[in-house]
Amino acid sequence: MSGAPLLDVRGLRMHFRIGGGWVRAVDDVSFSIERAQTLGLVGESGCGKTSAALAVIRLLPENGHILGGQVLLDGIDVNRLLPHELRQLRWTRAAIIFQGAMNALNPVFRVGDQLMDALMLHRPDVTRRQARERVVSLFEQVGLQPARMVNYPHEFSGGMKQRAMIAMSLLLNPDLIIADEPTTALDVVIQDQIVEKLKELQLQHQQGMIVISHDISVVAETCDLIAVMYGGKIVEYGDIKSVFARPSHPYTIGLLRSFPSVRGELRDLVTIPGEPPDLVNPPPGCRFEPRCPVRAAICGREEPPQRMLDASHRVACHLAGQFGPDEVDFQRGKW
Amino acid sequence: MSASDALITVRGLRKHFPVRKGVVAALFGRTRDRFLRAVDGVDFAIQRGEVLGLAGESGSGKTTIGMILALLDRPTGGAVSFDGVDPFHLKGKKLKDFRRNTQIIFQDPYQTLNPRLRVIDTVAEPLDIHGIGRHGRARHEMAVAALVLAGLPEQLAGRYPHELSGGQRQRVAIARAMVLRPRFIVADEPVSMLDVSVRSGVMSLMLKLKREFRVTYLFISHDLAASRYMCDRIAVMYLGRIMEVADKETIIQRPVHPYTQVLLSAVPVPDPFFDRKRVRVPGETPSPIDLPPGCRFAARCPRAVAECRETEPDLRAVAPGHLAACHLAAPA
Repeated sequence: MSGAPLLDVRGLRMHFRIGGGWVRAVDDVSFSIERAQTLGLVGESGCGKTSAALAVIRLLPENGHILGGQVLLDGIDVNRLLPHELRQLRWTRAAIIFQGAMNALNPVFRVGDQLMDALMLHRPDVTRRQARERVVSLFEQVGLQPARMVNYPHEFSGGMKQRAMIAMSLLLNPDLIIADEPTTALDVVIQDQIVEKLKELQLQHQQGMIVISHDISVVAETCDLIAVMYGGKIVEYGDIKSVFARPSHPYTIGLLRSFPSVRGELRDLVTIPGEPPDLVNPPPGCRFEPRCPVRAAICGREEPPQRMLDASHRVACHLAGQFGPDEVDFQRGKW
Repeated sequence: MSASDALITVRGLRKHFPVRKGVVAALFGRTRDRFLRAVDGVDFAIQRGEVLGLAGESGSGKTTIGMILALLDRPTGGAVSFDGVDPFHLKGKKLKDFRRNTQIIFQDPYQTLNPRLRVIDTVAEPLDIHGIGRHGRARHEMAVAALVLAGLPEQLAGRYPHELSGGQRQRVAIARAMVLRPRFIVADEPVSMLDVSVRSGVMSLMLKLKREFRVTYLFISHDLAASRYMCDRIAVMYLGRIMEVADKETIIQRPVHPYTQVLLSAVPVPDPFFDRKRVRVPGETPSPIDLPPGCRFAARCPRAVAECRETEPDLRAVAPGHLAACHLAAPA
């Protein structure tokens, strides 16, 4: 598969059926990830970032339907897989670290046994002894003492449970890791240690990774690529440094300037007024138009096309390039 | 700021929770009582119109202090003075009247609003409790005014919490706190459950109330970046004690306590061009039960010396207005 990226998602559409309508949660989403590369999916709650990542491996609730697009994972066309092939693909090819992973471990089984069972379930040829050796080695890799394998989840701290979940995700050497808010519930110091460990292991194993997070600082530090989602669409996408140096969608500009930092000068934070769009009946033109401070007449009528700003950086805004980041005038906080 | 302008003064505040003994221990006569020392000797003052931040990790005692200052819990020891009055010596009607002075905003607006009450009734409820406003109509008008003050459109008054977004719910909680025109508000992680894009709006609303009504805040947050925007001063807590307190920019830019330095160095920076240097520490925060003697941070401190494991350091001045509890910090 020389030349092709590890994960190539094109025009993916995944809608939820509710009542008589469709929630257009993932609407024409495209991105690609190479081995050892990390993509950050950012945006506010309900923008479709988790849905987009889960749609990649078709891990959907019953009312979620893939209505179009193509997902190629290491050359495998995921949307054409049969149910048993899909089950095989999950965990062996792509693993997920869920949000609130502390609750993902079964409280009545020893942590080590849970990992060994998961391994033996997927690899019937692996003996119990081999499974134990593998789990011991994974415990060491994620920074847990192998002696703790006999403990139950309640005997682990939040950070230790998250480490165990990372070990679980690495069990079958997947090519792709999807981490959904991997550190949200953890304390700052522990969060930092976990993110650093996750990143170290990902590079060591040359995996592709998708990090879903509302925390722009975590994404800024861990990701090579960023996809900013709004209303089910990627409004800006590209190399992380390029997007931070030249944010070109008004929503991206607002999001980056609403985030406080402990470094640098104390600056004003902006607030993006309004609420996210209704995805059953989204606005006809650009979905951000009702909240956008630079909108023009065309924005309310026509969906903006994707424009390339450089080889990797693209933006979906009719007016991109016609305003600088400082000309986007959101409400400024008076600090 | 002169000491005489303090709205709230806290001296030697302690809150110890008894640890329940197991049946076996009780049967076999292991009678020694054990305590979880959630707050273990804390001194600070909050000036009128000031925002004091309490920062620190889970279990550092910051929420316990907030509950005590919101008069929702009683201290085990120490003295609290609220504009010269010790509220824990008040009873009955006097205590009830006193409660009007202080309000609290909690972290999770999904759990703190009564799902069966319309927004307007939630906001008007404190008026009913305190018998403010002659009749229902007057209370309704005061509640609507509080909603508008919190930046909510009047049309939301008849809605139920499930019809609102997280940011709107938190504004309802602020409106309910403000309707009594309190002098002091405890805000316990008020923005950490909210979306990033609405956090700044809620924080700037709280600061507007500070400017316009001279509200004094205790802002409890594990997020030092948010505290930097909200607070005037920041106190960093670890295992029930204040490790360092100073003006916010001093804490952020020139911290002297090793724990503050560790905490700050772990905060991710929203800038892919920034190369962050970490100050590493082993282990996780230990349990606040059966603490060893000496400095609470000594076991993990990268710079600890023998003295640190023997004597607990006092919080003392290292510069004007800058206090640290560390044997190695040079005194002023």
